[in-house]
Amino acid sequence: MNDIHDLCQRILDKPAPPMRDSAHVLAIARHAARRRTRITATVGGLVAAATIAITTAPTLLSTRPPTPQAIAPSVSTPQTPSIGPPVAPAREAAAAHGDRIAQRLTDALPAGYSGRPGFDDRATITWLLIGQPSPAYVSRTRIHVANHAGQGSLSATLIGDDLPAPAGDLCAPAVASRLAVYVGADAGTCQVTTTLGVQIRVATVGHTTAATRFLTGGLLVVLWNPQWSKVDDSAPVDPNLPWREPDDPGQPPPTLNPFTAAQLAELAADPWLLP
Amino acid sequence: VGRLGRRDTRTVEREFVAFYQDRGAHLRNTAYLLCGDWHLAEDLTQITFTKLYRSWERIDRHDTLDQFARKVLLRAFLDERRRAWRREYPTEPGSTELDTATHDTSGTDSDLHAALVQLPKRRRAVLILRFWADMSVEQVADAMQCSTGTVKSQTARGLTQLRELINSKPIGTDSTEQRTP
Repeated sequence: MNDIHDLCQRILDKPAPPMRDSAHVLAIARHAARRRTRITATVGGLVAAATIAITTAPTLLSTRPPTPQAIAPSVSTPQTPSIGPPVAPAREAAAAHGDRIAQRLTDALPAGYSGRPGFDDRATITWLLIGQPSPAYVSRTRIHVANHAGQGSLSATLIGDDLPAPAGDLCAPAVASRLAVYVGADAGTCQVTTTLGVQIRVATVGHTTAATRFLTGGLLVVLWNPQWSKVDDSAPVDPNLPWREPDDPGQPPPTLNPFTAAQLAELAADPWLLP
Repeated sequence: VGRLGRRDTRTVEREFVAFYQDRGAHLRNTAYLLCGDWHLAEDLTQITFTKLYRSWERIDRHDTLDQFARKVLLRAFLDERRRAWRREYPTEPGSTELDTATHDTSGTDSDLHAALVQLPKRRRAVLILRFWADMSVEQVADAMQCSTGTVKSQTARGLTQLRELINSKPIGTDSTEQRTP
């Protein structure tokens, strides 16, 4: 049986990539534990609310036919808890959801357009942001879109930044600066639409249109770029922002526009894009 | 509050870091033997330590920690749905983390590994846990949530299959007889 041990040892004799340092591993573990605590608290709140509703309902039903005054509170003030946006998925969940996102993005292409994975041999890359005050990730799923007239890219990016969803105007400068590292600085229009009951921020940045859905502890950005540029993962244009596409791919002006702002907003609000 | 009383966070994290520094490399090697991919091995190791961190205060017998960690790693491996796109690229400037391009995997040892990886997941796991991680039949059965009889039969079948796989292809200059069980 020592042969198996020797075999394993021989396999491992080759130099291995450097390990993550302990601080990095600890930071990720802390972050995951905090996220789990938040989710547990949210679920606990919902369970408590459901319990109250279940215990209250029979009481209401068993009473004699109430007077209009007695009915009024249960009709006019449903005591449902205020539920915020969904919690941003953990990094592993976001990465594991990439193929479903890619499928959803491909399904969204209008007739006449074709799609294929947007990073050489795959559709999704997840980057872990090292050195942030709080561990964060960017998980980007990108589809190369083409028709007879040209090519562009459609992407959905899940970002975990541990920040709460903005409470006020989604087009406020503070929101734009939060998004700048992911989609670039706002240089065009910005509007807020409500799709499927979800508030979506739709902004144009240069040629691109970004529809952003804010989550608790992160965000989801659906981005349409009517120009195609290769993202070289091994040698990014900006090593600090490796997910960003080069601004000038050296192509003629865009001729593709398969998506309206409303369609991109609808994609961003699609629950299938979240794990 | 656990049986030994709640330890403060700094103590817990100091113990956690010490355990990672002591056993992290071995666990990652085990993960690599299981999955054959350094990227995935790194992820499986991180998943294992993340789960350990959450459970740390509830673990009051740290002499069994290694066994627990291997069990968590095994579950993470068996639950993992392997996908080509599942990669993580750190953005730390100048980082060479997970730079597998510099690691040549050609040649005899990769043939051996290829043979190992061809075994079914659970059969491969049984061999690695028993003969690499030095776990007993009972410990492997506990980790894999199966009977000791299943572990024994999987071991026998795994050894036979591995011998056939290694003998079916040229492995290099070393005698395959010396390397086969």
